[in-house]
Amino acid sequence: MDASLPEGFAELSRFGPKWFADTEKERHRIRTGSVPAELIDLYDSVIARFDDICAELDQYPLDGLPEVQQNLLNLSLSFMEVSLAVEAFQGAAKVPFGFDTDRWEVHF
Amino acid sequence: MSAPLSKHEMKLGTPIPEMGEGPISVEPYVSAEFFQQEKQKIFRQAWIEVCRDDMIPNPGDYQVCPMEVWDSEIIVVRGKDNQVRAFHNICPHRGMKVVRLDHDESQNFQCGHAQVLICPFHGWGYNLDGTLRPVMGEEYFDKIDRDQVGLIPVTLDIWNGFVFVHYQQEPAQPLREFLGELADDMEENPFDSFTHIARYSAQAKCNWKASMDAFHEAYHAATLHGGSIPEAARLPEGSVPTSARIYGPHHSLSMWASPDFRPTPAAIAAWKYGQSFSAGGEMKLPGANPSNDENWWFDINVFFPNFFCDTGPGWYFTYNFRPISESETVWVMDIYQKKAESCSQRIAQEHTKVMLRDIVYEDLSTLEQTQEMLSSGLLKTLNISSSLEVAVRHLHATACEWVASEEKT
Repeated sequence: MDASLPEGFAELSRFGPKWFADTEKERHRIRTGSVPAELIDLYDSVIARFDDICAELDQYPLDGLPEVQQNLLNLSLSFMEVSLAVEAFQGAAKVPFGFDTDRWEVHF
Repeated sequence: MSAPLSKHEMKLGTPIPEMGEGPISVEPYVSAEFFQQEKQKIFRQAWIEVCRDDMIPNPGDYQVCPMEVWDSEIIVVRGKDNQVRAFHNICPHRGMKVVRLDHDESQNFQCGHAQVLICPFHGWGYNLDGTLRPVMGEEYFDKIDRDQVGLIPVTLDIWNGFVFVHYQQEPAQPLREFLGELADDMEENPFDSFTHIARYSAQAKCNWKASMDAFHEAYHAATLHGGSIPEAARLPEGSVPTSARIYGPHHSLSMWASPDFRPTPAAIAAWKYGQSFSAGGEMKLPGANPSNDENWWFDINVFFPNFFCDTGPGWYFTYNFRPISESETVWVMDIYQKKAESCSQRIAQEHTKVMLRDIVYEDLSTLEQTQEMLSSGLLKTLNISSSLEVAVRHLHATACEWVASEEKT
């Protein structure tokens, strides 16, 4: 049994470890290198469990989460990372007609 | 004004000064000669914001700030006496940089910590107050006059945690007087109670004023952000600020949150558990919404010449626009929000960042394409609205006024 996520969230474990990245800098890099179908799949899968995720994670303090809860938090942050891309840009990994991603620095 | 956009009128919180009428000249956006004048008469005569003092909380913490517009670079450092000081980053021995840029890998800021600042060339060392320490081989030098030989100080003052520097040793106005009534409006905002949640930056081939102009009007939202914020396109009256205020060289606009705003599923999820940038925040903070507008979203506050501090319900963000040349600018955005106390609040916070960031990708997309075409010489003037684009006209007029002035020193 895959134990990368807390019990009850096994169906989301297929998004790891790629979407368990720790920083926005890394999550944004991953998003801009992905394809629309993947972003849409991530979005649909996480938002369907969003309340359950918050209920699970809010049992723990934000600082010092156990590893599996940290993975679930980071996955949820990845969901937010792709949210506008899916809701507004049909899953486009980069903002359509946006400034050049390669010349845009996300500092942390 | 003949435009049928007056579903709500823009309130004027202050009188609007005489700024001329009709089209504005393109020259200040493209002229190398004009930019040289701006370097002398604006950027060496105005207070320039460089960082927040809580970036360097402890004695010995320092931050290196590029000051291309001064042809320099400065070190902002907290001394052992807790005093924050700034120095040009140059060793008076041979002119080497005393502090080399040190990227904090975890944060990617140009910051560090030291008890003594030591030039990496010959080891000349400086105390955190800029005074020269004993020099290796000093007996081989003619007498070194320590009153004359030390780090070159930069005039510095702090308002509400924002660190400003001034090129002149004795500025014509003290900082607080320069910031004036715009700072009065914002004075009570508890800036030091927020957490720094994001920094983005980019270098764009665009004039600094043309770059700023993409960020202090709402008229573009219905078109440019029609995809990312469909509400803006559906409700074009959002193109009109709810109110505008002009305070000397500075200005402030308040943005309209439509009562018909329909948040997306991710925004709803964010608001259910925490704070987002999307319209709908109800946290009332002092120092914002100075004209008491109904359906207020956030304020765009612009301190001349090049610093934005936009304040909303539970967040604020800043932009610094650092001119490189008449056609190149470094843009830096910092986002601050009330500290997330729980995991679900932390997830909501990510929505603030991502929504702002992806929208600003659209804003930045216009800069280089605009500058490229302005540089063609095809247009001599721009046809701007006196109300929708009042801030564009005000920045243009203020820059022209300062450039036309006699040098103050």
